[in-house]
Amino acid sequence: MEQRFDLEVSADRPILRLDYIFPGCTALIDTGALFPVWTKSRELLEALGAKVCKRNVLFSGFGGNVYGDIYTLTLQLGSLIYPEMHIMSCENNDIPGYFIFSATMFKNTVYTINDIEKKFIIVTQDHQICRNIIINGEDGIMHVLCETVSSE
Amino acid sequence: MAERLTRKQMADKYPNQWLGIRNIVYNGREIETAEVIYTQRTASELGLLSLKGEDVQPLFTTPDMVFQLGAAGGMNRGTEV
Repeated sequence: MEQRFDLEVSADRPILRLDYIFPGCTALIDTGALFPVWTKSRELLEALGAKVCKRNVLFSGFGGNVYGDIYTLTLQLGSLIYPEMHIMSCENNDIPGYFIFSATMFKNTVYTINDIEKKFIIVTQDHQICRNIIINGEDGIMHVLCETVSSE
Repeated sequence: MAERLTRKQMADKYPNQWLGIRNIVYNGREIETAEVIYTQRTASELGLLSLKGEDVQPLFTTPDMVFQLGAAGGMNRGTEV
């Protein structure tokens, strides 16, 4: 199954349009990221239906360490559903998108950033519409577990 | 009072910030002009207004001027050598 999504045409980096969440909502696609991130206020995230499940979790990135909260949010992207997806919340008004979508969200898919037509294309071959994203830190190291789930 | 600006005028006049815009005129999928109704607001404030149904769309004026370094974030203005 192939799904095509619009990218912001006036940006050089891949910024996905998510106007169905609210007009102007966007996500920066980060193919180097493990964790999906919400980059704006917790108030807005909670207004989208997210629930906090863990606070003050230390995440490390290329530029250093940062503390954030982990929320669960059910997200739909075309016909793909991420039920109660774990998402890190860390506010930064300067990031030109509300979400950062991580590579792990597209595990086991063929995903293409078409910068000529400004399209993001996801091809799934497993016929599974549900994808679980779970941030797990039981052994003291943050992991992301991603798996497809049968819709049957 | 709202001012109607082109996409380039928005970037030149309000660089590196979020605007609230409405009555957008598109050229294909590209914003040609829009009325700027909010400046000096955060993305979250504008997102909440949009989510609640106000006729406003958040827009970051210069999405390629900000450079993040992984989770730490930050803006690189560069240093003269």
